[in-house]
Amino acid sequence: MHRFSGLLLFLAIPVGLALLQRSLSSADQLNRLADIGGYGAALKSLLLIALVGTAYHFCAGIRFLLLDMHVGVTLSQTRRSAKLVLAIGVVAFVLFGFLLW
Amino acid sequence: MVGRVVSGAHYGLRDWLAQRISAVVMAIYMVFLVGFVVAHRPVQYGDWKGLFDQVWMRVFSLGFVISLCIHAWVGTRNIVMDYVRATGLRLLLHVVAIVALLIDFLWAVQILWRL
Repeated sequence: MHRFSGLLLFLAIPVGLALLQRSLSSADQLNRLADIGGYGAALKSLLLIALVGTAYHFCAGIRFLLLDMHVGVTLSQTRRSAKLVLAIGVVAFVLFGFLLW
Repeated sequence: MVGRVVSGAHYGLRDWLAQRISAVVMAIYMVFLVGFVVAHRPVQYGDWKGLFDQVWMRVFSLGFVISLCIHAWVGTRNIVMDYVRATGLRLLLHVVAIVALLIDFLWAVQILWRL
C-alpha cells in the first residue's frame, strides 16, 4: 500500500507542479483554481486520489519512521497502528470527497 | 564472489537513510504549507505570491523538491528492482524514472525562480 500510493504520487508530481505554476501566475488563475465547484467529475476524482494518496503515504511514512526509532514495535502495537493508518486513509477519503463535492 | 547484475544491487544504508531524511524534510514542508493555507484561507493571490517571493521560501521549496526527487527515485527504484526481473526492462524503467524526475526538478526550479 505504501509503495502503491508512493507510485501514484510519483505520477502526480507534474500535476502538482502545474497547479503551483498556475496558482502563482496571476490572481485570476488562482481564483479559478480555488473555485472547486467548477471542476469536472473526472478532475475531482483525480484530485481526490492524489489527496488521499498523500494523506495515506504521509501517515504510513510517519508510522515507519516511528518503527525505525523502535516506537511501538510489539506485534499488537504494529497491528493497531497499521489499522489506524488505514482508518486515517478512509477518513481522508470521506473528508476530501465531502470537501470536493 | 557474488555475481553482479547491471542494474540493481549494492548501496543499502545510504538509500535507507536518504529515504528517511528526505521524508522528514517533506513532512515539515507539508505541515508548514497546509498551516499557511489554513491560516490565510481563503488564500489571496497577494499572500500566496508574497510567500513564494521570499528567498527562504524558495530555498525551503527547493529543499522539498530535491527531497521529493531523491525519495521518489529510491522508491521507484526499489519497486522496479523487486517486481521487474528482466534486466533490459528494468534498466529502461530506471531511465524513465530518472528522466521524469530530472524534468520535474528543472520545472520546479523554473517555477520557483520564474526563469
